[in-house]
Amino acid sequence: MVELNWNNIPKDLCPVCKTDKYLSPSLQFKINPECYHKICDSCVDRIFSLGPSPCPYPNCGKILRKNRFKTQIFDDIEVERECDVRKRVMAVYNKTEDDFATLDEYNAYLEQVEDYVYKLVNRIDVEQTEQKLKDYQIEHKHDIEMSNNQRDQEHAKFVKLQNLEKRYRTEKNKINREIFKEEQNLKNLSKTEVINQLQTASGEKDADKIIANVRDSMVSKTDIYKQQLEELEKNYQEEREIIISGKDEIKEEEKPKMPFTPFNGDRMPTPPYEYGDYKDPFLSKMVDDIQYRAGGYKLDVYFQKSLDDAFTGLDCIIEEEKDVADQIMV
Amino acid sequence: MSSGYTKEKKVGEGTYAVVYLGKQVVTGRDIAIKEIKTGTFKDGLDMSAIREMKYLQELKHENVIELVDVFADKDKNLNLILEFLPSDLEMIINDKKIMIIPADIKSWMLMTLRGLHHCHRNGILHRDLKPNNLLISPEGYLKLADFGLARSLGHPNEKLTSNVVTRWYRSPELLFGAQHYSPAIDVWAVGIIFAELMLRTPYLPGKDDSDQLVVTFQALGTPTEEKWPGVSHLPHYNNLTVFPEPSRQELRNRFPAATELALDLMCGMLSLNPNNRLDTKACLLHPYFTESPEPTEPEKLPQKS
Repeated sequence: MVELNWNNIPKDLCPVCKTDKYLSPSLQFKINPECYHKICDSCVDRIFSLGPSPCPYPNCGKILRKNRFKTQIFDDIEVERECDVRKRVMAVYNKTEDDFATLDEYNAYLEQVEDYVYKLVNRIDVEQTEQKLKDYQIEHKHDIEMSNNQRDQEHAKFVKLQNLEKRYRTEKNKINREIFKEEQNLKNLSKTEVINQLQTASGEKDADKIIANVRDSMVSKTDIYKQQLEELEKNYQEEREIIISGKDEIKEEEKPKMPFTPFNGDRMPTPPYEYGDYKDPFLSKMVDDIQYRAGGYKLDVYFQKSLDDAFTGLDCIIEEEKDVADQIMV
Repeated sequence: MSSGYTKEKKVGEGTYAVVYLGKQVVTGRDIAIKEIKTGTFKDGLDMSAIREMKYLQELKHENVIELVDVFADKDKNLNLILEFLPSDLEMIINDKKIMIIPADIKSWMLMTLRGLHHCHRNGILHRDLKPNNLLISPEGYLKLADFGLARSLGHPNEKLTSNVVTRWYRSPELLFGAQHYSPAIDVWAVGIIFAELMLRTPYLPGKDDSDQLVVTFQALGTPTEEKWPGVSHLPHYNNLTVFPEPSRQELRNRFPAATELALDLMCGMLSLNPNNRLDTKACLLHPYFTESPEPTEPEKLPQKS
């Protein structure tokens, strides 16, 4: 078997298991931003599932972790690397133009960022630059987080606006279609209607009037649609304003809520009777038995029920209810 | 048929009644007709039918099945007209296609406890609570049903039978044969249903009455004279294997989805000593119901597919 030349690996071959993309089309290559050596998916699973391991390429020796492996996006590995570096640097240097007083300051800042990216990509003073990056990250931890948050919020707002606009467009199209249909309809209809009315009309004098009438009714129908369109436009603008000003979130919180009531009204907070320390020596003695106590029997509950029973009917006027019942029966 | 109800089709048959689906002619409302079989019993009507009529007439609550009407037809059969409730909680628990979220459980527990509180408030013990008897309306409202074993809280000298409640939902004092028990037996059953909703399988499925005791105490610890004074004097109490009370961590492992407050409430309802068990009022006032998430609105609860 021919030894693999590690310096010139064929494009469609996994150098670890020697599987060929041509023979197994499901083959997927993965790379790790530590060293950018390509390894196929199943090899990644096999080698790195049990924890970090050294890169299988000879003379590489970098320790790789499975969760850092990703699919290659650009064909050129250098482009891929630059993108990764850029992403990493931008995550730390995430200021926007608004954070600077003058344009010159902002440009100086951008210049510096590009400097770092260039150095990291071309492997010039890597350690120094990494250190600077780390220092900056520690120093500006709070700012970085703030910037991130702001960006997230802006993104959420953008998504909301997009949704709103989409909804607005579909509504608008629908109404426009309706208007068009109505106009078409009326064009045909109005002709026949004018003729019909002219036929039934007595004098020739009315002819102009009739034509005007028909035209009026036609216009009024499209007017309704146009009004709807205007209203839609107005609503859209209003909602847009609300989203842009960020008021919508507050609105959601203020939404009135039904307070939770555990009993849903089925409770008598103050019983109509006063139940002091009523004692019935006969019953008390009976209930003092161990069988009652162990079974959970409570005399109080019995007393309360008796009192409830006695008071239940007090608020009911049977005669009145009878009348109502008679009416229902009839 | 008399009185303006139509019978449409037979949907079930029990030991003492046949259930039909029907409509109220005037309103067009769906109803269930329970026709009580007569003649099979020497002493007139079956006890369950009388109980059902007697207690349902007194109860009117959003979470208790409504008894619309009662009448005897020309064959002298007794007909109970009940609200039509197509589904029950057991169907939902067993339907593996349905996903139950904690807010749903809270909502069902809330409705069950409200219904039960209404019964207890009126001095009525249900005595047969189980998921099968918690019916669900098309709008998602849960209602207590089947009052065939219900009875009112009697005079202290009355002896109550301990042979009530379906075995898996029977409280320890009933298992020990207590004849003077309290509404706490219903709370126990609700506690078991709570556990079953979280587990989606029966919590304490005993094979027979003595096995039920073993299963119960395995899960919740064997009661001692210390924790439950007088327990050893109950009729069926005899030498038991002593199981230790489960630790909080063991319970957490058994109910991984439950919050601390949910476990609190469940333990409160499943207190072995009926004297320490929460009553319906205490259950409803438990902070579990006010903690997040809010109970799901009935209309949004999962329905049987």
